[in-house]
Amino acid sequence: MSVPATVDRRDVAIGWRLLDGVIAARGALLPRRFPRRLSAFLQLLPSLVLVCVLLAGVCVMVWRSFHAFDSFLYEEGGLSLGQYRQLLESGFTVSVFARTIGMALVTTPVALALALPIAYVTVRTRSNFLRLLLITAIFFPFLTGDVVRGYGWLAILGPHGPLAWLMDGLGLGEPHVLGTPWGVGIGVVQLVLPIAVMILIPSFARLDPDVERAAGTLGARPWRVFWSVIVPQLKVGLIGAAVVAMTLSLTDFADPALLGGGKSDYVANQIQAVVLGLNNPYKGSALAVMLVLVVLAMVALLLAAIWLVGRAIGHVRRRQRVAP
Amino acid sequence: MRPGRAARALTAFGVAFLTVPSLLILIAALTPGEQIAFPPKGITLHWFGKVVEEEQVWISLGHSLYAATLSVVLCGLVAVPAALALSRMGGRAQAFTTAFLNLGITTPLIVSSIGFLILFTELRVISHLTVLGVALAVVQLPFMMWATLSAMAGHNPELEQAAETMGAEPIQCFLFITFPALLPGVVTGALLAFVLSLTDFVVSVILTNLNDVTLPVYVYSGIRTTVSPILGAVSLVFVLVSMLAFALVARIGRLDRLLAQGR
Repeated sequence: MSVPATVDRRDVAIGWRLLDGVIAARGALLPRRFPRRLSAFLQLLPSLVLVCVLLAGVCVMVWRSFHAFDSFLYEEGGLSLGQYRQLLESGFTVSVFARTIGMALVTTPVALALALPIAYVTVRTRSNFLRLLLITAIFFPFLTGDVVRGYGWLAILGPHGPLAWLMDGLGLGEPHVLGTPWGVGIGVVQLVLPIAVMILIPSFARLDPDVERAAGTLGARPWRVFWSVIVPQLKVGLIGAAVVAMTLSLTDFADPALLGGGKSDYVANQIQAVVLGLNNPYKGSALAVMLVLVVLAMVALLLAAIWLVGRAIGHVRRRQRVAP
Repeated sequence: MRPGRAARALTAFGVAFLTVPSLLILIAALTPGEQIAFPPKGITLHWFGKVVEEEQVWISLGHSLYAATLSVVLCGLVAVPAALALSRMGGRAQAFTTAFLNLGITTPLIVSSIGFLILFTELRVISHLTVLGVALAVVQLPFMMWATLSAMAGHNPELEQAAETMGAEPIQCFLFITFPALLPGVVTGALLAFVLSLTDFVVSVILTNLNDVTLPVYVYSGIRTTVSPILGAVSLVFVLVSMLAFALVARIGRLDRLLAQGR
């Protein structure tokens, strides 16, 4: 039996030697343990810097919006509220804001009304296959992106698509959906729906199905169980979904651009037109700031409305309890 | 209790509403004529050949891949350590940092895009696609962190303590304990960020110009004039790529956990 006198050093894998080198270098240069706060800060630093790029951009944008601008000479003027005044005085801008807000008030409830049953069935179904199918369907439009969604609707609602064929067959004439707010609304609901479902699923998953079963045993019909037992328990998820749906609807760019054909523009499209089409980043910035303010105001109104409705329902329930 | 009939009917409608329009693209891409016609008058693979021949498709696909790759790499390098730090924080500091890092999705996309455009024009950065990659990294950062944090939720921190007690260096600890545990989350997040960057439309349309359009913007400028089958064939690329990524994510099995993270 022969035992090798020395270990052949070349046998040791290169990766391990590299790692040893890195460890040795780290040991020589840095302390073995950083203070906890310092290491957390160092780990967070790159991400904070990255997000600061966005913050810087938005800050420059806000700063610009408070300046006059000569789009002919492309020169910045002094500090002024002129951009905002001009926008508020323009009937066109006001009408675009009105359309954006009006459509959001329609699309948000529609999207939520569809999102609730989808999330409910996804969580409660006993079939794993159906659950996977539902989750795939939810992620599908979210992942394939705005352009694929837009192309699909253009093909369906367009002059030679299935809708035209169906309406022609029924003798209803040509469809006029594309280019109208309805056509845009369909796209907006499709944009918002998957995200509303994704927000609602965790809240549904947290519910105890025994509570529903108990209600069913006591004789409640399925819709009664849904409205009186499930929805009140969903509160936080439902509010979250409503706020996100409202925000996404108000700031949508892709659906009006693709399905509105320039005839049903939202504020986001006007921002693009002003910044890139008219080459006026100052006015575009003011529009963007106004859009953010509108979003914040609408979210505040939505929360106030939910609070008032909740209080009213509470009043009714208490009165019912006092006088049966 | 089983969902009622109304809930099931609405769900079926919702699922059809979400998927059928995009699936019809397949039929559209097989249409023989220059324009989409329904019901289809025959089937042809002619347009797929045309797509392969079209130089502009390859150029824009290259642009899209460059921006998406840059965004994923940047996002991953930045989000994984951030998630590590966040999971060890607590209370108000954690809430505040999370809110700050989520600015990419809480700021409306159109507003962030204009902000990036104005900032980088001011800084005279010429490469639009690099700017696009950075912008997309900021926007996708929350998804990446979300996925990484959800993987961390199922990870036992005592494993690292055990390794350290046995003399593992911090680097070994990270490489052999923490990172393998996080890997499914990191892969999920990276796939999500990659697909969302590849199919991004809003940020691309604002930040690119005629010379460096990405594939979604190329399709968009085409369908503004005619909804031609060739663009349907191109759109199918997005459907295939995103479904492939989705299948991978589902296979890694962290999908349910990803959804549960929102609690």
